[in-house]
Amino acid sequence: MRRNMSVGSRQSPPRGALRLRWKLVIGFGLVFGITLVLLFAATMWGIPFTRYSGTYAADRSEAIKDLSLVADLKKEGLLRWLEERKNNVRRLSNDEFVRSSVGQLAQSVQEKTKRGESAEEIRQDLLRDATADALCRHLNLVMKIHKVFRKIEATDAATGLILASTEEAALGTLSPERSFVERMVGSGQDLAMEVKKDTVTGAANLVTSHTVIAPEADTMKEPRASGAITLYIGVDAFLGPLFQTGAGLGQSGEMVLVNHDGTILMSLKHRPFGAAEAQISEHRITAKPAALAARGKEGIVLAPDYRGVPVVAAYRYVPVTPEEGWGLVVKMDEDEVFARLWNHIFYLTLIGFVGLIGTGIAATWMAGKVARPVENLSSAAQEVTQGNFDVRAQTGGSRELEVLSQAFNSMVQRIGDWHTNLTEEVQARTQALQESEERLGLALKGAQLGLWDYSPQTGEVVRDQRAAEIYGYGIDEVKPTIELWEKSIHPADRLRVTKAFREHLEGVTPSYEEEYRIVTKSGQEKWVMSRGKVVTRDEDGSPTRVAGTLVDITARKIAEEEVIRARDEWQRTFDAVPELIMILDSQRRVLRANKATAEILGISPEELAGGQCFQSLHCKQAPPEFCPFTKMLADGKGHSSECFEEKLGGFFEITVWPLKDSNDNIVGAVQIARDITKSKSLQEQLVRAQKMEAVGNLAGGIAHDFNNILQVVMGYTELLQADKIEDNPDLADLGRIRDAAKRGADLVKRLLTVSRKVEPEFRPTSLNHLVDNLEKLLTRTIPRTITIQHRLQDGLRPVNADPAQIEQVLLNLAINARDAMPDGGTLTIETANVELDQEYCDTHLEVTPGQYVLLTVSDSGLGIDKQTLVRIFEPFFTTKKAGEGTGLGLAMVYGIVKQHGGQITCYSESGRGTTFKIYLPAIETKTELSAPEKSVAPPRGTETILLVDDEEHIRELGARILARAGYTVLTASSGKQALELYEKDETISLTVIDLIMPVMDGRQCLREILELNPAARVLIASGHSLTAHEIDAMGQGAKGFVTKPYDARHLLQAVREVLDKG
Amino acid sequence: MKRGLVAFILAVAAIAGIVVLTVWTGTKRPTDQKIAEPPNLHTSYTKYQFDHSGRTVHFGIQPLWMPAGNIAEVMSRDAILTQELGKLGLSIRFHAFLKGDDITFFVKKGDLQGGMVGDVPALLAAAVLDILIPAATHQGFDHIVASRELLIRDLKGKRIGYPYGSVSHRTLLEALASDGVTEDQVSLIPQEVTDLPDALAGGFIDAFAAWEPATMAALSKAPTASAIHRSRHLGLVYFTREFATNHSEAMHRILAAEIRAVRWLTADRNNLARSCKWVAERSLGRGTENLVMSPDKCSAAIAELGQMQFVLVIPERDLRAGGYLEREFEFLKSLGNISSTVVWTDVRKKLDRSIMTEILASPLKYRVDEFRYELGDD
Repeated sequence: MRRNMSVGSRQSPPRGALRLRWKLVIGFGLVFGITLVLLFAATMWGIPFTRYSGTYAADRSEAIKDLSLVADLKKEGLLRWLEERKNNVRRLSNDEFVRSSVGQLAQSVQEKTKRGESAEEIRQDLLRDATADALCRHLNLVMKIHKVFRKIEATDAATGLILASTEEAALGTLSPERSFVERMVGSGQDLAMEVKKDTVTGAANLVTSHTVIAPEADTMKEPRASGAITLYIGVDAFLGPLFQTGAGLGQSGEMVLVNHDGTILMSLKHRPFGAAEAQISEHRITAKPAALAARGKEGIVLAPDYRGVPVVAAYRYVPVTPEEGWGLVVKMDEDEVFARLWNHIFYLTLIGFVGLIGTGIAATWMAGKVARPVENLSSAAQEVTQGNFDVRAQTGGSRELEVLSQAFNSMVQRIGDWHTNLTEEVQARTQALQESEERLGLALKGAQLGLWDYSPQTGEVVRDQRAAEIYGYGIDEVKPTIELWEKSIHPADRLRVTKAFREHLEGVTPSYEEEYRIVTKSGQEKWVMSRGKVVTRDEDGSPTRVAGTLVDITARKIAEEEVIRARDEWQRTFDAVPELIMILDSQRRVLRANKATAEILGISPEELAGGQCFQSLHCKQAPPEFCPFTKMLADGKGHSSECFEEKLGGFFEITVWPLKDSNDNIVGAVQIARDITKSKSLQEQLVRAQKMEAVGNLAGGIAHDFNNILQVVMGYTELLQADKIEDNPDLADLGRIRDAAKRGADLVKRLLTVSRKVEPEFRPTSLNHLVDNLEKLLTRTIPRTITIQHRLQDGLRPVNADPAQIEQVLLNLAINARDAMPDGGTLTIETANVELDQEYCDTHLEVTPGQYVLLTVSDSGLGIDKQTLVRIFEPFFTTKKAGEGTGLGLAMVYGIVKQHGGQITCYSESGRGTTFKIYLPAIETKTELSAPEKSVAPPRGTETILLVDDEEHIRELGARILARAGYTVLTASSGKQALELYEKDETISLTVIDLIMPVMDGRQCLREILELNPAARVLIASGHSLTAHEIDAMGQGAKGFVTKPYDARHLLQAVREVLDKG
Repeated sequence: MKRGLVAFILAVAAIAGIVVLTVWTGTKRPTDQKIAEPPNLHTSYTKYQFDHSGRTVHFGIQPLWMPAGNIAEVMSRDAILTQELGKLGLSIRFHAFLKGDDITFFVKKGDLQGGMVGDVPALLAAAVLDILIPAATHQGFDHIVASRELLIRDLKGKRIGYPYGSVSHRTLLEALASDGVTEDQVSLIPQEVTDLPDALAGGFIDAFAAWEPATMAALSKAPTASAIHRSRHLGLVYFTREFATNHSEAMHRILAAEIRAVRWLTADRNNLARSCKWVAERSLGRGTENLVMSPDKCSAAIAELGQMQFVLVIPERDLRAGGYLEREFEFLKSLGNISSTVVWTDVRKKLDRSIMTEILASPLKYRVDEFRYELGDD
């Protein structure tokens, strides 16, 4: 059922309509009110920047002006009155009769005074004087005519006597104002005016004097004042009425007249503050207006008057004479002066107030008129908003409202229809939405997602229970804020996260997504992932709402970190391996390579990935024959191969292990390539060294026996030669035997040298010296078709070497070079200081890093092929024909160099010559370097020598050599026998002991002898070269050593040296 | 957006309204006004030729200062003075200046031997120069003229023009102080006296302090204007001590001429009007037409009771201790215009009323009642 709405039908007026009404009331009221107030203010105080200053200023100005005008009028009136009085006295003084009478009388009085007549006599004369009488009558006549004068008198200027007066009694007496007259005449003035109090009556008079100049007979004489006319006017009688008319001054108005020091010249209307009745010419006013006026100022001032009452006072200066000025004050009480002004303001305010009330009423009426139809419409709209679509607005009123009401009703009809349809649709959608929300809730719960919602403009943060739980809080335990959120972020992540959030708010990023750590309520550290997005922004683009999710990803993060840690660890390990490791797929493609692979191959891991392994490693387009990968594919087992990689310049051992899946299928392989160049080289060196050692041991083992044999052969051969005469035919044969024995001994010596059984005599040696000394020998040995070049470094470091052995090395190398250059060429010998580093030493046996001297011997000969090159240092290996070489030359060189702690290398190519490089350890010494030995005669002696040797021939040979040299010789065939002899014979100065003997060897014998006599001199003889270590092992008891087979010279020299040591 | 637009329109309307009102009221910008310049830079004075031969007496006068200007104009036409000085081998030349300070400036320079000045310039000169002040000319008023009738205290916040260093300057400061207004509470604008009436009428200033005829000119130009304050001053005559000593007779003859002039002026209203005409002629020459009045107005103003009064002898009451001149002297000291080391007794010695008294007592000798003026065309 439809119904029309009207004002009367409403139960209660809608609040919106009331507000509209009051808004209109206030609006109309403010417009009218402000306009009225502005009008009022403009009327009162004027309009800024215009000349209209307003009623207040105008009224105030008018009031002041009125008072000023009155003051000016009063001043003018007073001045006119005074001017009249001045004219009175001026005319009287200039009157011919007065001038002549005063002149005569003054002259008469002055003469009488000169004659010494008394004052009484003079007075009496004046009373009788006709001129004086006539003058008195004249003065009386003037007084009667003007009526304002109280008294008129004529005085003598010189004596001050009254010559004539309107008061007969005063005639001949001294004028009370004589000093006043004297001052006037003395100052050159012709007129003086002052208010003075009569000394007799006490009345205040305006005293006006004027000089009287008597006519002179002599016109050339300067005129002089003979007397003065003085008028007396009662102040109260004339000034008082003149000023107290009160015209224009209202009830409180008053005029005050003071002289120059503020003394009042007329009666006051009121009693002064704090004083009794004010007396004219006595009471002095200090109030501001009067004081200003007396000092010559004019104006108007708001100040307390003589009573202390605030007045508006116009003060004026009255110039009476040049010597006298008065102050005139015209004043009114302030209240009265401004009364009109305040009345004006009051009525204006009243009108304004009434206007305001009227404005209010009018505004209310107008507001009702305008608002009522709108209220009706509003009420109908309210009904509609409450779901009543049957309601209809009342039509009627103005045309616009009619149209509006009809449109409204039509709209309500359509809204009603829509509402019915919409309700059904909304119900359906609501159900769908509820189902959707339920699904979403379950999804969120399943995903453990927390929700948050933030309003940047209000600062409000809302989060669901899951979000609160992530932070360790209950849903209502703490009010979430943006500050609390920031505070909960781990300090290390806070800046990053807040920056990201802020940037999203500012629109820099399209969305916000951050993973970060939080610190929960319990202090636990958690990883969370927060996603969010600004969902609404205001007109200025500022975000108004941001919503997002929060999920606890701590477990995932821990797992990720573990994975990352393991991956890093694996990668570090992978990269730490110095071998080349590649992980290959089943097609030999490189899946991953370690750091060493990339560095050694010079290819980045990225470039390696995806390439074939044989391309990367072998620089080939197909797998090589030895490829272990191929073998691995065949049997599914790990395989290794060695190869020389030219690209890498070394030998590599390549090992491949299969990678299998869970079904034992090969899915790839791990390939490790290991550089074995160094180890291979060392291995070869080791083999060679072992071979050399074996040969050396073999040679050393037979050398002793050979030496003993050769010693006997040589010794007896020498003895037989010594016993034969020169022409004995056996001498030649003996010589051949001796030479052969010598060659045998030499061969043995070489063998010992190769096997390093010969102890070098080390001494600081300059290789440059050796090379130089050897030059002569080489020149003889090397044919002239071969050029010998020396390149010796200046400042070459010394080496600790046996010069003879080094010479042997050089000689052997030179001879080899000579043989390699049958058609001539160049032999170059060089020396240089070098430093061998650890890397070099790692690839060479028995070499330690340090300073070395390099001795290089190179030729431009035939060169050595590779097969030969690896065997050149082997003993008895020779490429020469049988009988041309022993095969011990380079083996000796090798042995000597090794015994010197050095290193020898050989580089040769067929047809391009050969170079031997010998590195000898350099030493730092200032010891004098070895010089070539000189040939001297074998030393002799007479001491007793015990010779111990188990070989009879050698024992006899030694005894004969020593005996020939002058010694007494005792012999023993064993150590035991030697001890017995030594105990018995104290003359024995030296014992020569063979080291290797049966039963008691030389070492034990030595110890026994030393026990008997620690100072005993013992010389060891042996076919072996004793090492320093062996000598030390003998307890340092032996004083010397001589190698067997020894010749006479060497034996005698060694014996002598030991004996001489003391 | 809409609120901003409305605010912008209102602001533009307000600014436009202020501009229109400013133009309508004809307010001048302060920079349009002249500022007082040092006297030696004043263009008018550069035309003066000062003879330093000692044969000519150069005397400074102020035509635009009533009634001293009138006395000076009459004196300048005094044949008796010319004759008497001629007997002494001297001549006299009158030079017009705008204010007393300017005269003192040229006296200080040695160009002038004396002049007619107000009490303030006379006291300022006496404080620093060796001079003799033997006579007065008149007593009159300095005025404070406001655009309408108001109290001194109402001048707070107002712009007030004044001639710097003049008697009126002193009057202004004294008046403000008398009603409790400090200098900080007003805006003081130094201006030439000739500019003041127009400045007030144009609304540039709210009030000014000056002397006649500036006051009358302002009152005639601005109908609502009013003289809200007046202060008595004395016109004085001073000579350098050197001149007074070396040419005492000449000084007496010049002072006698003054007496003669005053007596001639007061003898007949026509004489007063004639002197006003002479003032106008000299004033026109100085480009100060603003202050020139018709002879009738001028003579009426001088003759008006209570406004101006010829005074020949310096009044005894002004000379006595605590009198007007000593108060003025102390006030100037308090303003810093006179050094604190100068004492009143020293200045007082330079004021001598006996000379004028002596001349007045010898009218025959000084021929003070003979009148022989060069009246020109009239």
